[in-house]
Amino acid sequence: MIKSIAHRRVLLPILLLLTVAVVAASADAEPKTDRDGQTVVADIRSGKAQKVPTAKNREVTYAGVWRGCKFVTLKYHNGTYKFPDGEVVEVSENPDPLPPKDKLDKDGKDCVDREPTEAEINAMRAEINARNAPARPPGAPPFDLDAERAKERRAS
Amino acid sequence: MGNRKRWVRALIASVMLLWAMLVPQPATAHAPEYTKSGIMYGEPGFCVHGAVTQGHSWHSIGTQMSNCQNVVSTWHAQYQEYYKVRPGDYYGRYCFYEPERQSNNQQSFSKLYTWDIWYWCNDGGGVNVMLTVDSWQWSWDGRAGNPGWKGNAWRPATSHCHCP
Repeated sequence: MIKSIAHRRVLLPILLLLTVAVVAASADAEPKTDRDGQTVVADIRSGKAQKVPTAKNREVTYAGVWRGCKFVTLKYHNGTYKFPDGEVVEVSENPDPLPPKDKLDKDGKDCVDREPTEAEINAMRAEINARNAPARPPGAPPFDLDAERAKERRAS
Repeated sequence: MGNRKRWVRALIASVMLLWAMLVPQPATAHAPEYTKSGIMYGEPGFCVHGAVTQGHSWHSIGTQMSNCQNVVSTWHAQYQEYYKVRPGDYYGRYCFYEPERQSNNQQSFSKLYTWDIWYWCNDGGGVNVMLTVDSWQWSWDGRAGNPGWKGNAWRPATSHCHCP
């Protein structure tokens, strides 16, 4: 009987404090925002974060990659991962491998390393933006990157 | 008396347990990160704060609403261009363009890239280059009178040395 009372006196405060700790910890369980990139990458690779399905129309993103004398279109996959603490992270993963440089440029001439022209960059941007086709705010016209950049140049 | 001792021991143990559970542990050391956030110049009504962070083998982008004079604007966009700068060069060489990404009415969005920019900038091994990210952000101002995308940029946003 005495032993039982003694056990209760020892165990009860522990249980009480454990309960407080668990409640406090769960109250703090809203998604954290301080997980840095390197930690996220490590946690995804170690399986701590669970992959959740990504919307079909958001599975891949196309990008324009300069390959010495012409642009090539490459893609990466968009993944969504959820951590045990509730944080959800969108990631870019599995980028296409960089293809070897072509021997010929888009005009059939020898491919010589150079920088892209403004016209080539603009054409590539238009093609990539159309291919990825983002949603628009209600009433907003298509996002005209060239016009915005021209405005920016004027402002500076 | 013996019970009181046990009580005290149990209390101390519980407090230590509580401490271990609730007090954040020191962060482990990480490789240096290269970060830039904010904008060089903002137009009136501009209300997007952007950030790019770069480490080796990963980088991340993000935008969020902040300092917003334009309370109806929650849509914002961000896009990036990536360059490599060889030692002694002033200008970067073009690597790739990433399309605009829009918030779809969210207050903030971010994306982590689990791969090194070098993967799409590689022009041969054994060279030192600085990999830089230029970044632009816009917010949509739908108010009557002067609707349009408002925003600006900073460049280069971040860089890190890709050194063999």
